Amino acid sequence: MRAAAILAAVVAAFGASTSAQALPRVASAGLCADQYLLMLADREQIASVSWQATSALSVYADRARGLPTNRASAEELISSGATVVLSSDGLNKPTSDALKRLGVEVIDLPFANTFAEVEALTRRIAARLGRPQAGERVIHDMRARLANIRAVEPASSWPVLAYYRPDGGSGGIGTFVDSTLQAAGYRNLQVMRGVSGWGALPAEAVVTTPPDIFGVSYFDTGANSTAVLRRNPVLWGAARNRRVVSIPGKYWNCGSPLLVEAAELLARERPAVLSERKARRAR
Amino acid sequence: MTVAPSFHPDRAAARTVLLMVGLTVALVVLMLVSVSLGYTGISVVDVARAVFGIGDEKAVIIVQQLRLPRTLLAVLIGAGLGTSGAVLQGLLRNPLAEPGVLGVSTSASLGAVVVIYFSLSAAFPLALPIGAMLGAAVATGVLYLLAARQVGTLTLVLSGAAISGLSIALISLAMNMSSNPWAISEIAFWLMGSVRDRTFHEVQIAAPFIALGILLLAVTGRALDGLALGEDAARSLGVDVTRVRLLAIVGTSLATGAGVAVGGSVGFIGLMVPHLLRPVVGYIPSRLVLPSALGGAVLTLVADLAVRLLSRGTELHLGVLTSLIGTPFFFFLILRLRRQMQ
Repeated sequence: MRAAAILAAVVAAFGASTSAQALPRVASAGLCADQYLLMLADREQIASVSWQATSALSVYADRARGLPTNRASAEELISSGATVVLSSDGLNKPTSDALKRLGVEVIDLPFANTFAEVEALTRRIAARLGRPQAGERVIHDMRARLANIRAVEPASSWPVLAYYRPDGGSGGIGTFVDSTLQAAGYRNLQVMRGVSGWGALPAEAVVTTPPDIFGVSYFDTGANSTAVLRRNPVLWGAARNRRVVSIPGKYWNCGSPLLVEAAELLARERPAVLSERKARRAR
Repeated sequence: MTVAPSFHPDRAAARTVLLMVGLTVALVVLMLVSVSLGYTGISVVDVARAVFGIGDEKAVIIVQQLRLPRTLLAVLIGAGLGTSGAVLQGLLRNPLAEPGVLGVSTSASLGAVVVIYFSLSAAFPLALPIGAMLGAAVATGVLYLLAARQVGTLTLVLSGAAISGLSIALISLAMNMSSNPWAISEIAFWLMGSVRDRTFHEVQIAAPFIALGILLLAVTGRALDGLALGEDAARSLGVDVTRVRLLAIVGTSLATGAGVAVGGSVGFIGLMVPHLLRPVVGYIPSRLVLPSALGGAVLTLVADLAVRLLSRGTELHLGVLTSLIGTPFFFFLILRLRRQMQ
């Protein structure tokens, strides 16, 4: 009896001393929210992650394994003991309203379209998780890696990239795709056309201004990432003479510090793209 | 007696009573199942305790504030749709009449989407149900004007398709012009229909209107029997045809519109239920109204339970499931109607 009491006291003392005791329990709904939570949180404070967190589109699928998952229902989020829910398009409005009414704090993650916005969002989430240092570490790492790939030539001489999503849409002015392309030292064809937002990049633009490289992203691992180019003979004709780089969708399902992975991947292609352009111009 | 036993009026009346008792029992059982079934495993004993506020705090919140209102909303929405279907089929003397087929549900969704698009609910909390009910009222009114001109089944159903098409076009326009990607998913929800994660807030919004709508529709019962013989015959029997029309239009708008305002568009319940029950109650329109309310509640609750059982990952929406079941049924009715006409 006494032994049990001592044991209980020891367990209680040990429990109180671990940092996770003081941290809020947080759940995430939506792939983007999962990434931020898995990136910044103490594993012990994660109440649950979305069912997509272990999918191929999740960079932190390994970290997510073993954690409770949710299907973005208020019931699961409450029973997981979450006091804060990070949502990136994961909760529909009735669920979000229900959670707020039942006293759970819901944080709707805004789109972060520039690296400054990514830093601000990272800081905000890290602060709410009670782990500001984790946020600063991520930001410091991101800045260092971006500085490492920064292009030295004037922007007017950067190679031109045509970016396509599987649906034929692109990323224009003010999108995190454009911020990433700039960070990697590319000019974005859609931005050169003066188009903002996520609208389509017409094949005509590719004919008028042939890009130096095509960037395609896949958001479904089952799909062939070049399918969007193959559908259109004009695009496919242009792409066969150019380098085509596939950017895994998991790096840019939203504006997060993971964009730096996409930027590094694109930057690695840059020397080859530049020498190919030089060869074309010599001809 | 030459009357076939299945159409014997007394037996049909007895069967109607039996049917109502059976449906009520089924409804109560399904409601208990619905409260015990969710996204987290809570034992039946704990659920029973939680209903009375005893036990684990989280379980109490989940059962009392999520599962209970969801169950009630499925019942209310289904009852409203079943009653609307039964009365519309009687009033328009058309076996294919139903809020979904005739575009009333989609038009109500459009009303809700207009409210969302212009952010009217922030200024006025009842804007959403009122928008949806007005949408339903416009569609029902247009349909009635057509029906009053003695147009055939085909014209009426095609007009419903046109109303539905126009509503979807305008909803798509709102999605197209919306700069906020999250608003698009919120709008798309109205087309799919769901009662997941609703609270008593939504029950409070919808319940009074749906209840009033069902009441108005139930009052039309006797007059529908007269109308089954044609409008002139009904008038000669002392039926106030104008009053019946008004009751049916307002009743359908309230019951369907308020349901759409909290649950989105849930189709085909109003089509299937009266058809499934009609052979039992003996083809008397007034006898079909209340059983259809119960039957609509049962069918919607069954569908909502199926949604919960079938879902892995992304949840199947209630309205998507009822449409998947209802469309083949609709097709079957069209073929049967064609055979009867030949």
